[in-house]
Amino acid sequence: MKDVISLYYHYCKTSIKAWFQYRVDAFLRIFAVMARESTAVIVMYITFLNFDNIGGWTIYELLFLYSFMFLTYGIFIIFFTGLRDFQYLVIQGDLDKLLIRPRGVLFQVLASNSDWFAALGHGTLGVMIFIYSSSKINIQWNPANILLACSCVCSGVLIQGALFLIFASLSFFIVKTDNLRNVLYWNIKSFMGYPISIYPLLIQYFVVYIIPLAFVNYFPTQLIMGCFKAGNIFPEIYIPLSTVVGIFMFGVSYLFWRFSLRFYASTGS
Amino acid sequence: MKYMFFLKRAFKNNTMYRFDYFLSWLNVCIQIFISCEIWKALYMTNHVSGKVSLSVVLTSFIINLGLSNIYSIDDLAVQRKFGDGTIICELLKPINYRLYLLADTVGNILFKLLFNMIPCAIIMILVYRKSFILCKNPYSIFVFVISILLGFLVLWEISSIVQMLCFWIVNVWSISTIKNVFINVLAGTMLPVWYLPNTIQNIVKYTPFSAIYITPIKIYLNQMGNKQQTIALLLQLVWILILALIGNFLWHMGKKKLVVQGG
Repeated sequence: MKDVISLYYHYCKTSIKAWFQYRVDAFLRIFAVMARESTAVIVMYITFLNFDNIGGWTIYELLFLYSFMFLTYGIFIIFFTGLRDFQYLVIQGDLDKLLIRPRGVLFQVLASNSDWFAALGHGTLGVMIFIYSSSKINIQWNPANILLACSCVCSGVLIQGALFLIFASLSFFIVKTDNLRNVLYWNIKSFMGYPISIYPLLIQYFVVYIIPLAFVNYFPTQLIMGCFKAGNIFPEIYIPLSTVVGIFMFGVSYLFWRFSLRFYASTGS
Repeated sequence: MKYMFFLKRAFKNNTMYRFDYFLSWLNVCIQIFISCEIWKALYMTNHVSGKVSLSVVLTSFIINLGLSNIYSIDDLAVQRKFGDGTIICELLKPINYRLYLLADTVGNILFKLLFNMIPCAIIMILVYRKSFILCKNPYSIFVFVISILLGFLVLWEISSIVQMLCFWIVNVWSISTIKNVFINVLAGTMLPVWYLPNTIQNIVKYTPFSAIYITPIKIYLNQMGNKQQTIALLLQLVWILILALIGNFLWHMGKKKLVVQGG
């Protein structure tokens, strides 16, 4: 175990060194990621200069909802960048290298890379919006609530990690998974800043049962705000369920990963 | 003409990946659908008539997102050719390099226009057939098409300036990203222009951002008088000229100090 931690530490050190080779460029890029991600927030803010609420959610509640997306992604990308870029390992056959080393493949994939620009860009934005919005809505920050918030963020990271693990496993079967992921993850993520109750039923079921991003922000925010929002058509029991969903999904996707790793046939070259 | 050849080549390159193509098509539809649903919900829950009617908002989203999705201009194209040294071979050819880049982009766009935008637009118009405003005046449609073309050239020239910056900056990715933020917010891609605060709207009028999508959409929606239309079209032309001059200037300055590492 100690050996694993020290190995992880070394991986982190090298990846930070690689990402921050050009300092000015690195900070410009972090800023650019932040600007790009804040577009949706700015648009939301300007929109609500003219409107009062959407489906019973005020602008501060919306921002609170959105901050979970940024926070979880910021943490998620520190650990799971390797899975995001996994298809290149398969296309170029670099996975062979990892397979012959005496450590777990998944561990090496996860530890070997972290997109620090995305992590800092999303993370900073997430923290800023989280603090701003939670100061505007009534949330009692007692120890129990803080613990809840932490566990919600962790489960959000796990859920997204599980999704990416599944996409990575799929790249053993279909080589190019980019566009599939664009449709099933990035696209859906971009509209999770609004409460799902405003969307047509089909989409609501989709983000609860198939790509369960609703458990990353929609249900957890209701849990922390301590209210059951009007328009929520799902049972109340779903609200505190994120942690269970996160752990369960990650377990299942890990099994799927183990299963599909057997189908890896190197591409040669 | 030789530029037509580059155009055709780019067009053909796109026909290679079928499954990819289908998914990107789905992507555009989802994007338009979601934006429309959000605004429908906004209008429904607030029970107030906003600054413009819901159908105007939905129509502008369908046109705007449809167009912005086919305008796939690769800001990093020149920079990448720097990195691998292929720019040397291309500079040796007896062609106007910036026209060559334009022909390449237009080829990609024509492909997407035919096989991506038209089917998507038809689907989205059918989905929102109750609210979509069909423009029946052939003259308006004619002016609308012209102003789309001019709008595209404005966008192209902005991107071209960003591309040319790679002579001075190692990585133009961050600048290109920040440019896109401005376009998304100010040119109406993510926010219907009528909902920008008035002061910003007045400033945007005098920037190239309004010449990209806003002018065509306003012409389509008949929100401009004849005189205003002419002024708006002229303004688009002026922007194209100014930006093209800047782009050309940067290109000629940059060409002289070109150093290729490796290749």
